[in-house]
Amino acid sequence: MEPQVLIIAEHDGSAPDPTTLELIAWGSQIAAEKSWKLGVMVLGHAMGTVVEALRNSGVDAVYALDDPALATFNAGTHVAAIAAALSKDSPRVILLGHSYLGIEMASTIAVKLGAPLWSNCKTIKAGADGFVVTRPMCGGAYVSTLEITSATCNVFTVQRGGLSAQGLTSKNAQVSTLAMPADADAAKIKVVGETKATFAEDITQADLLVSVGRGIGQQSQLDAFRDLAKALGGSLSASRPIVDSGWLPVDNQVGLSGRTVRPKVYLAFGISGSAQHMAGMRDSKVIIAINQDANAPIFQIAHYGIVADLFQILPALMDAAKESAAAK
Amino acid sequence: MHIVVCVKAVPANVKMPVPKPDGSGVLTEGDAFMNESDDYALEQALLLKRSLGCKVTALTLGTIKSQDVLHVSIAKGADEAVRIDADEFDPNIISYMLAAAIRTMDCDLILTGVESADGMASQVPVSIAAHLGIPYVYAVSKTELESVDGPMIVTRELGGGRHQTLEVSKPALLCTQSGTVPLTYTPVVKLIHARRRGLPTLNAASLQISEEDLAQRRKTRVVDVKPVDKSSSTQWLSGTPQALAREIMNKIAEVR
Repeated sequence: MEPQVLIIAEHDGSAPDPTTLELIAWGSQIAAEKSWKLGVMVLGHAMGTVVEALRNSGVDAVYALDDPALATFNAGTHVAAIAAALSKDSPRVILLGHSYLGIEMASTIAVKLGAPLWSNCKTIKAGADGFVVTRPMCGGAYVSTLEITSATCNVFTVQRGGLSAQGLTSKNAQVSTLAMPADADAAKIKVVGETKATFAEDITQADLLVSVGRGIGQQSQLDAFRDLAKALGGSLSASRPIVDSGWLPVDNQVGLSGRTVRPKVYLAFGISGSAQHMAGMRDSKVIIAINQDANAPIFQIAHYGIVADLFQILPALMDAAKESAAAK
Repeated sequence: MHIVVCVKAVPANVKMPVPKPDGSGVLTEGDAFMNESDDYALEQALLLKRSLGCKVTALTLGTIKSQDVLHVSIAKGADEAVRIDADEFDPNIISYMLAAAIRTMDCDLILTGVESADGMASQVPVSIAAHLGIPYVYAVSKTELESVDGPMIVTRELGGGRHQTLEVSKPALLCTQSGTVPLTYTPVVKLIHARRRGLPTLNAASLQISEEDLAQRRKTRVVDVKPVDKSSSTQWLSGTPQALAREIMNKIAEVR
């Protein structure tokens, strides 16, 4: 089909997700390389502002499917609607975000269309006979490069943060309305309820976060970091393993499954930096990472990196913080 | 009720992985352990076994080196364990083969983790469900099943602290998020006993998957593996702890 590159959009009902705009940037590169057209498909209900934003996002075509059944996310319903729209004529490339929604939908779209899926790509480039992607491996400490022979249709999920969405110019895209297929109701899964996030402590409001990860070793160390956060006038946050261990509530969790934070200062202690974690803090103004492992992925995005034993830095920093507070 | 748990052996403390000469995968050294979120899937299955009396089968795909995760599964309480003897790297092929094996197992529920620590694709579980044409839920934080025939109520993460509660009909596949159920200790004696047990294996031929079929599905080559690029914009700080502390304080002062 034309467009040959199709993006499946994510949105919150009022605006496209930043991930989607990055996908449009990736899609634009592929489309330019291959002289293909770029389209975006968006599903939901009462999403006029989303469609308008996508129309001016740099794509050639927008496909909108607006139906009350799509108001809440249900992978079965969403995938059935997407597959129905693409069943007769598939694009060459389908891009989704490597997100909760993207992961839930991409595999099924791929299997339904008989297409291979290449997931969690950091970068994607179109070549003469196929694609070259880079993917994280082994907790994100390594990156593999894969050469892919193109199939008729190829599905990719792409991590956030690999390409800037700035500089895309509106092509004033035409909007086509898609019809909801009759059999898209996913009776095998019923959405019984959806909870909005409620948080006892709002770490998104802190302008400095002392954030701890698996590298702090023991729960008994947590108080020292809490004290440091207090002395620096900030809050304590953590990566997923700390919350999974029950050391801190999910309120304090930074990352895709927890909160997205943008403090002025993000001090990461013993956080190796999973993609899920980094997605939740990469927009912090200054990231200072302290880790024993020089290969920790967090150093990819840290502004300042220190390879050292946390427990040597911690008391010295505590002293310096107290000194600085006393001097004020 | 029969629960199949898909588990993966992943290498720990990987030092310098390299592409295989023919690009068909990545070579890593060292012992392989059970993938973290798969461990939670197994525990969830064993919780259901204790409350409802189900049969639990652990299933993996890998070479003989991955067999120990099955012995660990048996030691923890799985009734059966099956290995598909294959050395595959591509999640498209792995999920295809696992789905073919599960099709022969007559099961009501498939439990998996959310992501493997080595491959990090988060692709195999949902792809298995897609091949089998059954409902699936990703990032499950809670599974409630009062009786074998009763409704299954599943809570899952949507990200950003949001959750969704779903009623899911069986057979279904659930990807268990890590940290969701308590992990149990594996008694060494049970592990020793389990390791004496011979385990059945399947392979492509016994699953009626032809070499031509697999060859047609092979569409990728690993051409390079390297440590992540250090950001060229990362400024590395070094010195005594006191000097580093002062520098950190200065950097903080610059933006606040």
